Amino acid sequence: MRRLGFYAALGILILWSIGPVYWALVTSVTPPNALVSDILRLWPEQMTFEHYAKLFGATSTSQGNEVQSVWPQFSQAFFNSLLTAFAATVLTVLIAAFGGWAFVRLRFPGRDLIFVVIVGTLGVPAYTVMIPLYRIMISAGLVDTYTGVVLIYVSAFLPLALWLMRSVYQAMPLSLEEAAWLDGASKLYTLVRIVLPLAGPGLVATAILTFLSAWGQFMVPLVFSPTLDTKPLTVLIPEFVTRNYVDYGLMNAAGIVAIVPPVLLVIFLNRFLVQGLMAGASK
Amino acid sequence: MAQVSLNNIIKSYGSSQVMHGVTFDVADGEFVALVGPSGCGKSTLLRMVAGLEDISGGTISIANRIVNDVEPKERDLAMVFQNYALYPHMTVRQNMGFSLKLRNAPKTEIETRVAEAAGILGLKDYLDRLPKQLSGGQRQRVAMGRAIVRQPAVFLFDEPLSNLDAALRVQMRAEIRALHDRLQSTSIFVTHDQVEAMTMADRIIVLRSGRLEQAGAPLELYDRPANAFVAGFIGSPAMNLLRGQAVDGMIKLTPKLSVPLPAAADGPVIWGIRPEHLSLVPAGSEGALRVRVTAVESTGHATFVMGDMDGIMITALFTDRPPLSKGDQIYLKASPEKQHLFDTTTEVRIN
Repeated sequence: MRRLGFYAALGILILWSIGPVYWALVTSVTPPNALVSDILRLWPEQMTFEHYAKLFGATSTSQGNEVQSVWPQFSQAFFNSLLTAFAATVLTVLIAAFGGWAFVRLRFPGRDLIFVVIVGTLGVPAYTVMIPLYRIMISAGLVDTYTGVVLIYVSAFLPLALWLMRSVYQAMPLSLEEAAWLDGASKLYTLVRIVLPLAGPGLVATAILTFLSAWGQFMVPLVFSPTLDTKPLTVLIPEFVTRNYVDYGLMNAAGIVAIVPPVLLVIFLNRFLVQGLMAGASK
Repeated sequence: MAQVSLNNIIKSYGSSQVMHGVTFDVADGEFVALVGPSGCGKSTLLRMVAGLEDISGGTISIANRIVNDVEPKERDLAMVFQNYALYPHMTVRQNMGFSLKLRNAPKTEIETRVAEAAGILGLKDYLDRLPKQLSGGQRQRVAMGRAIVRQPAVFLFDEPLSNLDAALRVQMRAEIRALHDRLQSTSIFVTHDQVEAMTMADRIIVLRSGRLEQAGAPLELYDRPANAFVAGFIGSPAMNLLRGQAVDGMIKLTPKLSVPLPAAADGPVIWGIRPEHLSLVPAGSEGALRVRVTAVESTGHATFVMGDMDGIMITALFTDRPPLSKGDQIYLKASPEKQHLFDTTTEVRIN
């Protein structure tokens, strides 16, 4: 009976997380006319790759009209998404790796207060800072630039990353660092050669979190990336809605493609998320 | 090689003072043990010598140089940590050679010195292993090896044996002492285990609550503890310390129970006698204490007898296996020259 409940819960959880992805996949391979049929089908009677062709291809026809290729827009947005998410991740992890350590091991006035204030910003809704932030970015000339978007991402995701890295360092025995200091290493050298290699899993977790958050960001680029210069996929894909036609197939095909980079990243980084790096340090 | 001097060391955290002016010297090549119960400040003191902990007052000098404001790495000392603190991502060889590498020592020199240390410690076959592939005792040796390749002026040990099992602890105790005799380096060894201190150290420094209680050779502390605290701390099983009133050459322990006073004193005193200095005597012997046995424990080589004499608990230790059991009535006599007398209020030795 308990097993049954366990599997039922597991099934619901899987349905909950995989279901929408599956539905997007199905929609992306369903012919446009079948999309509006009354019968619910878990897999289209006739599979088609026409939406993907439209996405990657040259011009296409839709409802008898020739439609401009979306590939130039899509590829540019894809690149924008990759670049901003990647840059934000690298910067955030780098700052959190050093900053988190400082909040644990260095003594300076107001250390804990500053940390609380930084983490406290997590509780400020993004909507409330949108307008002042926009004015700042306008006067700094950073609207619709990679620098602007990346800076906003870093400021938004750094508190959580700092928090994470701080707890990673807190869990590490101080005696390791002390041993290195006594061995003649400077604090910076100790951090880079002893602490960071052992904080690997924490750094990877922070990187994954940051990348996923940045990749999925919608509201910030909606406001700060008005043109294709910096516009990411999350903002571009909903624009496939036109005045008199919603191209569900194209949108879902684009969505499926947009899932690929984060999935690849997680698969790649997962192997570094292994536990047990600290084994053998003590006892 | 160097001598270490601590002069009137004070440590406070905010308004609470935890170290109250500790002063002692460690001579060049001497092996000194710092002992005391948990929280007595022995580890803090060691970390102050290492430079890992700030000093609120007083001076620490190593080789006649005051090092209060000298960085740990400039103090020319090596420390073996309680949890070993091996670098988990480095092999034994890299762990041991790390300090030399930081000093930009030539590769060949690092190789020879690591090999030499590994030879002394029996780690030759483990040089390419990671710490997690070693047993507890081997990790302990690597931690030692990391200290000795440096050839530092001073060795610091922070309870290095407390994570080992009993048998290994006894073995490492002898090994560390042998290593010290071989290297002749100044060593400070922190432990809460008085047996470790007694067996290894040239000199023991007993601390309690941030104060130095007594410093001296192990047997000196055992034979003539300066106060009741040291008397109770050094020696296992612990010394019997019984409170009484000194009147007319006798100590009145209870209204019905008295023992002869071993030294001139008057008023309230603490009478101390080690369990091993009590002997079984026939009933009616002069100065015998009548004791009802409440428990008997035997380890084979020794028999501990816990007894009750007119409401006071007393422990005795015999090595000749007397046939005793719970409830027996026995008579104990204290060796006259092995008795200790302390003042009740100051706890300072009287005789």
